[in-house]
Amino acid sequence: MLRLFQKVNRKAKKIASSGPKQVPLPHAFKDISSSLADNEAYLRQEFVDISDIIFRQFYVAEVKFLAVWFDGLINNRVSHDIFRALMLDIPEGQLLEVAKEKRAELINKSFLPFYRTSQVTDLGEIKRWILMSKMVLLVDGCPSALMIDAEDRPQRPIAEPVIEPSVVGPHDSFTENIRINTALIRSRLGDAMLKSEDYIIGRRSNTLVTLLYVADIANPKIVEEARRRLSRIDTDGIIDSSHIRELIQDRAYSLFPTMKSTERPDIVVADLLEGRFALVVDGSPQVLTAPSIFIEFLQAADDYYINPMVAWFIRALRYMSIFIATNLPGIYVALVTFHHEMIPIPLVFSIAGARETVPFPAYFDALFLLIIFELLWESSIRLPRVVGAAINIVGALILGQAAVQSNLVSPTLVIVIAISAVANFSLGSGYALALSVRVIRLAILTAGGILGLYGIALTSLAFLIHMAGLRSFGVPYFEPLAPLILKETKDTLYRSPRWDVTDRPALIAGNDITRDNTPPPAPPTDNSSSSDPGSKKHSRRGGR
Amino acid sequence: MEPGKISERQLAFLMVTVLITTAIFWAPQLACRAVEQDAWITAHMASVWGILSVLVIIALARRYPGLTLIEYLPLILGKPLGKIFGALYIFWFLSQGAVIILQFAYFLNITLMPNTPTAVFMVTVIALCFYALRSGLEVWARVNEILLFIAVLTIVAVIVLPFDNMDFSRLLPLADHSPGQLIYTSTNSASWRGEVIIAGMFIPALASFRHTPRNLIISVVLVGFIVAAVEISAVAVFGGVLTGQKEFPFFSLARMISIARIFDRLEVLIVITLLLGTFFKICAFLYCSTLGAAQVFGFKDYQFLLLPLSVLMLALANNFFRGIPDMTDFLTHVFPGTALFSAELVIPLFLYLIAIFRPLKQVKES
Repeated sequence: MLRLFQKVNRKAKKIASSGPKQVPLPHAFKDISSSLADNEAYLRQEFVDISDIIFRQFYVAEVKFLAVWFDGLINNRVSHDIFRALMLDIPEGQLLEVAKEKRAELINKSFLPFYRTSQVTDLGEIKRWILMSKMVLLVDGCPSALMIDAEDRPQRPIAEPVIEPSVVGPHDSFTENIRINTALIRSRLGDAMLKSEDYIIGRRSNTLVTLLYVADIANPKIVEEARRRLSRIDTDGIIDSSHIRELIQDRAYSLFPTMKSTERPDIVVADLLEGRFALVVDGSPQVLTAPSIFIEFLQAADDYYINPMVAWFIRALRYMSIFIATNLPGIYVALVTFHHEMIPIPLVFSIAGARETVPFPAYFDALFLLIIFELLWESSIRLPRVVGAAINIVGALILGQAAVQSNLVSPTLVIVIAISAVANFSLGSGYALALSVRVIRLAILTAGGILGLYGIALTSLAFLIHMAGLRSFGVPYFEPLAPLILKETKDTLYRSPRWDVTDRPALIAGNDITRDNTPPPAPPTDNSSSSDPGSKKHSRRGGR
Repeated sequence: MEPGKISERQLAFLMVTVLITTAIFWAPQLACRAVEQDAWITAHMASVWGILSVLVIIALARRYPGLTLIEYLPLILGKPLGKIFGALYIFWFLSQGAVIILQFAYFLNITLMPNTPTAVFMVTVIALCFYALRSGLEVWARVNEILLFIAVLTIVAVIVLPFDNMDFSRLLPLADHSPGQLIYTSTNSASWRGEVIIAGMFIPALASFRHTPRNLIISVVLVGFIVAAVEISAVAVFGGVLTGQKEFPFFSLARMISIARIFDRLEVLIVITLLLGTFFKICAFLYCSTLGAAQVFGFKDYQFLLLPLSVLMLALANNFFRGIPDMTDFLTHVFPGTALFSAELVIPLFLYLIAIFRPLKQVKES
């Protein structure tokens, strides 16, 4: 009875400990035995039929050691260092002097030149560490083992962002390694309030997921909700951050992304500073941030690095481009089919002239061309690079020119679809919205073909209502517009200079709303300014 | 009963949408038919009736905080009579909604797509209303908040842009009709303005109440100004008599717009934007009838009544009138009686009078 009680007590302690939280809460707890042979037998049985695991036994002063790791996940040079430290550098006398139970502790304290090690007493945990590409060292006679973080997984170096390139901003992007990713974030945000929590998610994949948030900015309720949703996950494998997104986002079915995934550390840092949380998933070069609002998907990192007034213009351009990308083919079909009178007279003749030889109704025409465009898009992603040129020729020449010449489609329509396609790619950063737009465009095209402009208005309204009803971790998706918060349109509808955007978004950030106290830039107040810029009067605002 | 909360601004915006959308299509024609160039005066007089409605509904809401119009009816009239009146109100909401749907469908049929049967418009719009109401009051109130800006901008554009055809001497002689005639005509316009009474169904869902009396009065007066501006503009362009003969003066006004001689026919766009407003008006009435029905019959939730009542409203809309002349006749002669002189002003006024003489203590007991 007492033993049972102790066991329960220990379990409780373990769950409360500071290490990564496993989701779902995992294995049976099984203590390490003092006999190395028992432990080895257990591990060998757990890892039976695995060829790339290494059990390395060695003796130091007649004490048996066992190191276990997966081949390839630990750098050869590093493991060499470990063995050198253990086999050659330990004074044998000292090892024999201490009590058997204290040996692991001694080695950990004095003879392991590795920055991250820890003592483990649970065999289940040992197994997990080995699976998570760590090395585990067992000492005979000692009821605890050592976890040595000598991880060196195959990885690629930090590269330029591929999906969200930027002209003037930073040029680094996340990689597949979670530590590099968190380091990229942490190096930009040197604040002790940037907290991180580790989760191990996936029954089989044991994927490390780190939740990052700035404790005194983020809304504690939202962070708690994120924790709750993370610990609700019960799945076998997480391969990419998008899997996490699908499992924890708000609405089960929606065309619109309610969590942003980005490959740019600067965007993640900006989001953290606005009170959002970030989820870094091991093995994924995309970091998730939430709560996300719709307008974010129409913004790009560059907006914040160029002249604000130019950024304002570019944002207006993007709002236009989402309208064009979703509506233009539909409007064209509606005008040609139902409302000819709206087209300016000179234009109506040329359109009618071009359409005269085309046998199909405008809707089928547009649908045909749109589907060809989608096919081209899809094939240009999937095709092997070597045959790229062939598709280019087929796409541009045959489908464009020849389709018009053979009277399959009207030339005006080719222009309409082309403009819509161009607009599709000039939306803000991130690929998610561009993908949704493809489907929305098709829906609106169909509505325009059936009910004209009335159908388009109705469908757009339906999408609008759907979007206004979405929430991202409790924050209304259409936030500064619906509900209307005039103050926050400063950084959404247009872009004010940084000194003017004094507040963080109120619905996202929980506390510490003020982000900027800088007074507006102004010329020096007295006339002798230009002569001596170094004088104390002018450095009143902390110099330049 | 309503789980969502809306802000005071959202309610004010919603009321502007409700008051303006159908009124702007039908009121100028009816007013000009009766009093020609003096129509704009009746538009302002109608605001006075509207303000009366606002005052009554606010007074009632103050006396019974947290309750909707349907909920305090039994407290004022006693349970049986209150329930009967509640049912009548639901029927009124439903029939108003049906008339609006019909107006919507007829209008689209005449101006945009003459070959499409009206049933198509009715079914599609009520389906979308159903979807919007399923998403909750908060959601469609929010969307209305954005779209009202666009709608008001369009209206202002239609009022201002035909300026090269305007001749303001057509507004003379000023006040040519007798005050009695003007007041009688204003009751027609006021029947649309009095629809502000449905605020009584939304007030309990407000997050705060402080500015609502002011907001509602401003909404009513603002709508009065916009309708008057449309009437002035239409009379200045077409003259008083011709405006009264046009089917939709506002639409004809939009047809006069010509930008740089290239964009001549913008009325379709204008119609579309304004129809979005009509959509929210249908939503508002459908919402009132479902919420009211749930409250009259004492259900805990109103969402499940949405489908049957949408279908009912659709059925009513399909069977109300035989055609446009029938509807115009209804709007001129019957509408003020069913709206302003019963549901919108007179009944609430009586309710308030009874409520004053009925001590609140007794109310609390029941």
